[in-house]
Amino acid sequence: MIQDLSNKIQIEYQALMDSLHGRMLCKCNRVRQKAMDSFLRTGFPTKKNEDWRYNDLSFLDREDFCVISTTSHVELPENMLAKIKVYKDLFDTVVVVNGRYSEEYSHISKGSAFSIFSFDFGLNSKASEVEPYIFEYADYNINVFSAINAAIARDGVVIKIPDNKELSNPICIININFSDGVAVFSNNRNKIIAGRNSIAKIIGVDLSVGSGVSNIVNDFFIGDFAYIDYYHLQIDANESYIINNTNVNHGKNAVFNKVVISTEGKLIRNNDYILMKKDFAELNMNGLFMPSTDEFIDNHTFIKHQAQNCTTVENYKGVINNNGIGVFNGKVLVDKDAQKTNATQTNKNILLSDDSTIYTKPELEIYADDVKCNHGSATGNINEDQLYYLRSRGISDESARALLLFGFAKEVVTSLKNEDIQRIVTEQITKKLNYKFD
Amino acid sequence: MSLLLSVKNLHAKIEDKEILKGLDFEVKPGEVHAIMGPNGSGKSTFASVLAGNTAFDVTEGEVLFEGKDILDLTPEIRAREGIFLAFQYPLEIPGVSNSNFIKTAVNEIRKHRGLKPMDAIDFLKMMKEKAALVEMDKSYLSRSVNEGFSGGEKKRNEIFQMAMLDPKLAILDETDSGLDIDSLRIVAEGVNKLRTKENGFIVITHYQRLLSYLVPDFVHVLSGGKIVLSGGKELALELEDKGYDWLK
Repeated sequence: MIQDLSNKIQIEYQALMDSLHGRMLCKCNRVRQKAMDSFLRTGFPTKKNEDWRYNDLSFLDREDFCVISTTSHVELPENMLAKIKVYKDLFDTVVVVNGRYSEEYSHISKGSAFSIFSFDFGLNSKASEVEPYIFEYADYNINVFSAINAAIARDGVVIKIPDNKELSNPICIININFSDGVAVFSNNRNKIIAGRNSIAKIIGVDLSVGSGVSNIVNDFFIGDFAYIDYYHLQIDANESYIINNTNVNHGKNAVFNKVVISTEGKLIRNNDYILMKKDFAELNMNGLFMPSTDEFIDNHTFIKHQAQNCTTVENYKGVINNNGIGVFNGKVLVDKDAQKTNATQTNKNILLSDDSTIYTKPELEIYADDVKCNHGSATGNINEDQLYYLRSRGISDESARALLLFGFAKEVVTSLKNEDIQRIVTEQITKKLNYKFD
Repeated sequence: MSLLLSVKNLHAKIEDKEILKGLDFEVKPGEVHAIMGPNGSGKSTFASVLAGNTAFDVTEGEVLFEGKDILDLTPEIRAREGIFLAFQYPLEIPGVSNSNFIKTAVNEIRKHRGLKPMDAIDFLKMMKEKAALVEMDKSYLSRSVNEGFSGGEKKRNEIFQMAMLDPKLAILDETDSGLDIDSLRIVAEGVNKLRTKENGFIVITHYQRLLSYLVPDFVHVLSGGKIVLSGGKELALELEDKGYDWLK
């Protein structure tokens, strides 16, 4: 019964509360309580819930889940270490395994301009530094997984980028669900706090072993005038269920560029919640999702414009093969005070097979009267005229299709402003298209 | 001399509309043939059928290329065998760079002919050389295929591709349409430089103008799905003067 999982979450919550010995007054624990109340009120969503109508959550319905908010050190197998190494060799890399920041697997180069500590340590020893960044805004009624995470997650990583600093090297956060033998329902909670006028690139990588549930929350606090890129990669074949929740508190005159690439995953659900509370903020979101046989990839984005003169440009592209299912649900809400909002939302999809499915729903909800907003979605097959043109130059049908799909994806790939990441992503797309260019 | 192309009694239709109604045509190596004719006479259909566009059904007749029946071959195999069609309306391919596109094409053709893929440096050199032939700036090589190109630039890009692929038979489908006089001259001179004793050209055009730069050995009039008149280069001038009505 799904009730079993609910009970385990409650037990975990109770254990956490008991361990606090009355330190209930701090802001973090008030938020925990609120989140837990919300979860108890709504329970897990069903298909009757509009935001979850396409998701098959029956995987939650099993009795052997191990719900842990944090664990001791997990010994990772060689092949997982090899995957981590790819990023470690290139970037400052932090690893969070089953809800615990793992210093053992992380590598931060000496003299880095940013500070980094575990969320758990931050709550206990640097409460004054962490408290202002407890995310209160997430709408738990919409996103129950974010609520569960807020209620019971004990650890993750906190990254603070000082004011006026430009990081020369990207920071990579690898979130791992390790369910070898036992199915783990893990809750990683990471906070990225970008100071005023700072510039940085953050890379998020979701990895897993076994068929657990990885319930990740990344909270971004973007300082005024900051310029932050966030590249989210879900490119490694895995059997687990990934629910990745990104909450962004956007600063004044700040820029946030998110690119999400999802090429592999049995079930991926990305919930992005972006709050534009200050004037002149700019948001760019690009996504590429490629579900194939028995895969389900769902991007739900919710952008709330509450300030004036802010810009959102959202462009998601889907390539769906065999019986894969893709979902794009992008909602932009413009409050009545958010005048001069400029929002564009696009979703384009290519269906490669008769049994491929896309559910797409760009949504605009506008209460202001002086805004420029548009949205659109288009879904089709590979363009036969383009295909014929390529073939008439001697290019095989197979190569021509791959070229056209690469061309389709390229707009998103080139929005990754880092050569190494572009290379890694291109390799994965090549693999996914099962095609090797000479 | 052996024939490069031999077309006999070709009938072709699109959906249920018969467009080619018994077309006969021959090209020998080294020859340039111009095909003229009124709108809707089947000129572009003929070009598409030769290139292997599956939108058209061949219902009767034969097409031999270097003595081999090509009607059952896919467009890519025909291209690899040496047939090239310069499109009347070249397609835009967003996200695919011109150089990547042409490199893929050249290497697949080389593979078909039992050759190794070209070395990157040689390939770059060749691209620059061929781009210069049609006065195409090398910046166009890194741009997406035809995306944002003007009409003239697209046509130059067609001739550039032709130069890169080095076909035995090239079909230019109204390559002159939409070209200003300078582009027309550049394109025609580019083609002239590619003429050899071995290869053949079929030039489909409405206007005599192109033919004063690109001088044909034969001029044919296609009307009602058949060749109704053939002659030398002077026929083009006569047609320009008198139109097609007198042929009916």
